Amino acid sequence: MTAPLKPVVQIHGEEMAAFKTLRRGLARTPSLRMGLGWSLVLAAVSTAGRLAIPFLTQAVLALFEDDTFDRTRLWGYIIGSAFLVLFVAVASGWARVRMVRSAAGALQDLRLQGFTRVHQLSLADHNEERRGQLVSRVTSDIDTLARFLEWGALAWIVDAMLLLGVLITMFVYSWQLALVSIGAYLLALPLLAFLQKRQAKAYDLHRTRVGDVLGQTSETVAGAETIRSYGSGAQAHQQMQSAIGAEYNAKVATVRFFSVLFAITDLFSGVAVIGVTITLVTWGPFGLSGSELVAFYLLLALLQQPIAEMTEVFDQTQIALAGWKKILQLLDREPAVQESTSGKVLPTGPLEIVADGVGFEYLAGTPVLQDVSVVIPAGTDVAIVGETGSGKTTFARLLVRLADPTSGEIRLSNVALQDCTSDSRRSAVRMVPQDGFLFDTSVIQNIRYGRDDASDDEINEVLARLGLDRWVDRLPDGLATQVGERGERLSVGERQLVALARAALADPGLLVLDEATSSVDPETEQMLATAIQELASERTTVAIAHRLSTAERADLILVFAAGRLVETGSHDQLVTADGNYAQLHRSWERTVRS
Amino acid sequence: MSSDVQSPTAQVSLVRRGLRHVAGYVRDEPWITALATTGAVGFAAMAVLATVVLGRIIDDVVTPLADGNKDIDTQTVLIVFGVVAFMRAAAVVLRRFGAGLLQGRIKRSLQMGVADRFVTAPLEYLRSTPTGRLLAHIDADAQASTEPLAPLPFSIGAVAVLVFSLISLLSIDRWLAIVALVLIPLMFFAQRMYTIVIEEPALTLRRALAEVSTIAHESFDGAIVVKTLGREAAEVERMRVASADLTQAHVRMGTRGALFREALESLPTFGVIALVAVGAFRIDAGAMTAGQLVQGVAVFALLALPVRVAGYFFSSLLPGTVARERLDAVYLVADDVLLAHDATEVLQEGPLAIEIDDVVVNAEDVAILQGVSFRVAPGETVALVGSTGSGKSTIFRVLARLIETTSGTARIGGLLVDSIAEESLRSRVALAHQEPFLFAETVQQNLDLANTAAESAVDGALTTAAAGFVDDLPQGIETLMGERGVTLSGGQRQRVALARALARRPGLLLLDDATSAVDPVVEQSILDQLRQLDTTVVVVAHRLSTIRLADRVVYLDAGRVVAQGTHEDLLNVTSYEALVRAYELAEEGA
Repeated sequence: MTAPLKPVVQIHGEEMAAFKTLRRGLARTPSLRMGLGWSLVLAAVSTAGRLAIPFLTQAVLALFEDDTFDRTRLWGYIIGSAFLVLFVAVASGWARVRMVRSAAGALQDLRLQGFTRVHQLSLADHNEERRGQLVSRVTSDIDTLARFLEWGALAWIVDAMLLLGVLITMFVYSWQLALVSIGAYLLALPLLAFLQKRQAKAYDLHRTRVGDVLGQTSETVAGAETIRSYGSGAQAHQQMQSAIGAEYNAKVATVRFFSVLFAITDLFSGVAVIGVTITLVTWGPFGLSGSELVAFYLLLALLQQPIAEMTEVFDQTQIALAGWKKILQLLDREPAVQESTSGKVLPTGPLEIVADGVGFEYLAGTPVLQDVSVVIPAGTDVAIVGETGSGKTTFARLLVRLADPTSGEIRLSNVALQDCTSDSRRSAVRMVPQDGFLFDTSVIQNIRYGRDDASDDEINEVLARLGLDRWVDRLPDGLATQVGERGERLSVGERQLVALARAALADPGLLVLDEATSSVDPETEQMLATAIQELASERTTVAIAHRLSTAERADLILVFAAGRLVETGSHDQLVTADGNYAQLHRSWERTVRS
Repeated sequence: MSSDVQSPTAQVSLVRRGLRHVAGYVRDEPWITALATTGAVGFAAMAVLATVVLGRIIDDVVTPLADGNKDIDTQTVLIVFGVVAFMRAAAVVLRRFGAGLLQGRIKRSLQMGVADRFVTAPLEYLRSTPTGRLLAHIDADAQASTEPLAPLPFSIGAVAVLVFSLISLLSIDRWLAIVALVLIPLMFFAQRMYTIVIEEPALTLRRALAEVSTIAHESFDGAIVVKTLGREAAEVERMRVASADLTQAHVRMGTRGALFREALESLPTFGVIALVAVGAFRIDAGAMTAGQLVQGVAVFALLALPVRVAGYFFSSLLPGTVARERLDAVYLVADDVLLAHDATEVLQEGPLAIEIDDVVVNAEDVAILQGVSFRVAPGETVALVGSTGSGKSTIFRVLARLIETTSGTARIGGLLVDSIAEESLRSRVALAHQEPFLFAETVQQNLDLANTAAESAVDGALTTAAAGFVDDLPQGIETLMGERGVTLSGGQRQRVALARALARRPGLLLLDDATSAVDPVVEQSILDQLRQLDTTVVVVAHRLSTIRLADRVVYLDAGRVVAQGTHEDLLNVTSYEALVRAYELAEEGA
């Protein structure tokens, strides 16, 4: 059915360091840089606000060190610092609003860039296993980044600035006491770093375990009928319970670190006070007055909070950066096709196809298709046959430009496919994919996606022409019937009927059909056959044939083997030629018609 | 959801219900709550005590030192300070560990309750609820429900912080306590206003997040269709609209909350300024020392904590309550009546007879089966034939007790299906589907879901089902299947599923087009082998070769039995003949 589509993974194998991610992220979304600017403003004013208290206390206490208590100066200090704090509040509120605004805008840009890029990726990237990851890129990864920007990232900036401000002020008062204070925290540093690493691992394990619970649950839910009919409910129950138990155990491990880390910074803030006091008593007072010493102790108290907060946001930072990195890697991926701006358009009516030395490879060095040259006159009914991996699906995909040939060229009625505008290509060339996906809306809306401006009458007319009006009458709500998630309320065959009606509505000059492999009940099969025949009559049709009966009816058969076009001709010609096709046909006849 | 209604009275009752839930959690884990609360109260006591000792350090050590006094006793005060700091840190560990444990344990028990429901819920409930929502119940909802528990111990301890702080301030000077008494209500007011003001954008934000996620899921699921229809631009536009709502909600939350948020941030600082002013006059009056002023400043730094923590608690309480009520709805899902817990009859060994009498099945008021009657003798092989919607699969569901009958009776081995004990029914009646569900586990585990089959039975089943390819898989029968393991073709999946059905050596085997993707030649050999087994077989098939193989055919149309007999007999029935001819044509195409 499909060619082996190997995912392209090794391009971005190398690890990006945190700072590189940061730099590249800012380059990608320049509006974030604005947000960064505002958060620096915020950090600066809030540091000023915090430092105001030790200074005020010192200034007021210094009044008592003079001979007379100067009330005017006291009021001056009080009113001055009240105004300062008011200013800080207004300025930081303003900066925060600006910051949120630019961050939110930047995140929306990033989300849309990612979403757009996902739709431009080659089909090789759209396999089922990777779909969940792609969804995460534009949802949870960005949401995590959003939470990080509003709390974690801001905390780093504000805390770093505060730490720096406090330390500088401390050094201005007394370098000896400042060194002792830093020393006390440095004692804790190796311990904090060690626990931090272990904590990151514990959080990682916890996330994995949460994933396990979700995985186990989704199996139990999706396989509910099988579980019930095999009476294995007890096993399923027990597996869910053990997954939940494992999540709890992982959670307890994270809680251990979470509780100890904070307590350590708390404890060492006490060590700092004791260290400073002993130093002071032994070698002091280093020329400091009583009021200045009081200010120093108040500064010391300010030191703990930013350090504690930094240990708390560490894990969040790692997760957010990892997600950000993945988003950036997504944006680095090349789009599968580059749309042309030449303005060339395809003619209306049936299209002639010329493939000229067409080759294709998903991975350099492993060709999926090689040197395919063929001329298909306009209006021909073509069937492509070949075994799994023969390149037949890839060839069909190149015809609708889901990818571009890596060598050679495809021309439709003398216009190179790569040169014509996307609008023209999309109305003149249509593919009915095997995947019977429908959008979660009504049948009629799903058909209308074939051509947005089609009226209800036009849709009814198309359905009647394809002989599908009978089918529509049997639907519970007719054309208004809701198809459910992915169209799952309709059968596989019915979904194909909708896809055919959709293609007919567009009235393309070239129709590429990927025949379904899964079995469809005979009635629907009959309807499909009638509809396809009707569709094929006024255009060039290329069908990827999984049944040889389709090939028997075609005007022209292209036989693919190992990435090459090996035979071309009508059914009778090919049977007479006694090559690949004749062989395929014989073995098929044996099994079916015996 | 009704929780989206945010009238003030609705809110009050929501908070009340939320508090009731929280009280319930506390009752479930009284010891851990007590442990964490002890930590929180201990922290409050030690934190306030530390400010007292700090004041003493200033008065007894720092001030004399600055005055040039060299003869100072530092030892006692430093030892006391050290002990207090250590105990404060220990209390922090106790509080945080207890809170985390409390949250984890309650989440676990909420999840266990959900798991319990999912296993026995009616299949219809699981089918009709989007998978995303079911998964949200077991993780996101359970998480959100327990979110208020993280700040709970500290919130209780916050009361202690307030009390101890006021006592500490009163012991210095009543004017300082008065400043605090003015400040505290202001902070609570600002906190409350903040919560109220961001309520609406926070709600919109959650809704917008869900919408963005839905669009991403659907759009990427249908990526090929989007590409082939050239709808990329329309899809991007759909996402742009949804994410613009999200962005606006984000911005609105930041803007609306700004005033009260900054008020909350700066109120303690204003309080300290007032404190310093009052303190200066008191020091001047000789009623206070510099150390006591420092003590007061340090106490004020603590006052912001209770407000902040109570803020966390209440802001997580509302979404937590809504999530918990979603879980309560899940807990109310009754056991599937089809599990028939009180059924005790046991099926006999050997092939089983089927007697179906006038069975009617209605689903959503549409009759799927309209009075079906037929019999199958033990050991017979019967084919059910009929066009789509004729009721073939529904009959299988009735026999496997996967759907409720509206009226009529179905018997297997002489016993009413409803009266057969679950275990007996499951071990004697096996069902295989056209599109089988295989679990992301090993082949072995898939073959023996209930972990009851003998090894020889599994081997025999693999042979009968022509599933010898299993031996050639990387780890043979222990090979992992699915995302992290091997991907099997449709025909291979069907053969594994068939072997799974055979491994229990059933007395009744129901094959719902279970070999449709298997190569016709291989299918023939499978069917030949099935006839050798000592079991009753009922097949739904579209291949003529399969139908011909049956002893008898039951021909159905629109939920009724139209005719029964051998294939040759039935060829006289015009509509049957037409249908079979259609199969023949389709088969040539297959």
